[in-house]
Amino acid sequence: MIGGADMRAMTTGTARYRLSVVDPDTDTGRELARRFVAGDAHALDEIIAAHGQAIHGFCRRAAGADVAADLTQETFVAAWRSAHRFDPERGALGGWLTGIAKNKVRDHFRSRRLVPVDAHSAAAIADGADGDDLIDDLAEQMLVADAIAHLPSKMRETVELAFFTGLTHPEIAERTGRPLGSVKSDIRRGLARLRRELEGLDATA
Amino acid sequence: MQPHDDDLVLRAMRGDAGTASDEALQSDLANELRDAARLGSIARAARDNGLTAGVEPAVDLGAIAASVHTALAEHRSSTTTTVAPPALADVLPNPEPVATVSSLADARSRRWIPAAAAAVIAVISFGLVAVLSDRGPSETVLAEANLDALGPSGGAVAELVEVDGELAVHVHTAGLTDAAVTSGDGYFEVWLLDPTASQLLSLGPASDDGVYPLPDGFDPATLPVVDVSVEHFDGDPTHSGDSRLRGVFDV
Repeated sequence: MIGGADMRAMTTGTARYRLSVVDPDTDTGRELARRFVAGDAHALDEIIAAHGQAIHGFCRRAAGADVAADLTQETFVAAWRSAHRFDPERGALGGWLTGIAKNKVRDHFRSRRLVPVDAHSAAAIADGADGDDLIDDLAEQMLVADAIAHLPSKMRETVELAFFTGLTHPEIAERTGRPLGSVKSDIRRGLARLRRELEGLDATA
Repeated sequence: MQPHDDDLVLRAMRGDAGTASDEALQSDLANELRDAARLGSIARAARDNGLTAGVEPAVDLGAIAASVHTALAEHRSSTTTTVAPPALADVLPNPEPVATVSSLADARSRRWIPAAAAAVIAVISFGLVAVLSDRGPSETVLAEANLDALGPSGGAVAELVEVDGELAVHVHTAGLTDAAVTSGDGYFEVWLLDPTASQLLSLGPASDDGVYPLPDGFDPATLPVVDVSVEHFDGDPTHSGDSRLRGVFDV
């Protein structure tokens, strides 16, 4: 056994490595989430860096650009105060945060007797749809779209072909040039990741 | 899952009616089909509504973080009844530094940099476990780190070693498993990356207890991240984006 100082002296250009296991079938942010739940302020900053754009995008579409920054801030403040309630076993952090943002948007509308401003939403309101339902739909759609965008590139391509085309498994394999087994496994694992996001969203409610 | 179940899931993802066959009524599969159908319906609605990721205007995340901290500080100073989140040192269940989980998918995204930073922090605080190995006389272990097991596949160890005067990376991946590898569809591959994952050096297919020589004159500090990915036999020499192990070295 040799000491750290000795190591530094004798190993210029050498390295200590630390590996961690990546569990791709679950939330890749589990460790970050664990530190967040434990009250690590650095984890809060990392979570804002990782999810701030998506949360702001949802708030902007749901409530308008002028209040999006305020609602995003309120979402992360509320998330930090209730971090102890986040349970990674019940769903992904991104979904949970989106659920909090959804509540902030709802509060915003209730307190001001406003309705969602998104063009798509406005058209639906004209059709008599309920505002809360529109916020729910928007949250789900943005969450799933963002989660698909963050899948590994090959898994993303496979999952999109599965969702958006009528191709069979062998046809998807041919189109992507990948083995049939990889296609099936990517679809299963991709679905599992997306499902965890929705579970996180449902867990907030 | 049986092959025909995969087909049912695929049809459910597309909202294909007729997936509710008798065999689909088994509860696990029924739940899976219901989720697949719900996700497919949401994904298509998102696409139809133009809600694809990446179209949102860029946000100043630093400003948002600052405003969150300001709000939290104001709240703390204006109330005495609210219990502030505990300090890190009070709540970390394990004084040992923890491993950091990330994936190469995230490496391409904004999520990578904080993960790398966390890994560096974890490593910096990690007490050096340096051993002089009793293995073959030609291999000198310069340093070793014990690795946490976070996932189902157990932990792993990477060492920088000197073999007959040449630097090499020794990666112990025994116990690491993956369905694609088990079924013969793929294999594990060892890489060195830079912190932004924009430069990669493949060290080749992984063996359970492999020693991977580094090219002459190569400075490990330039590609300080060691990564083990799952690759498929698809003729594509690039990284699959599907990482299973990753660590950052501390020099």
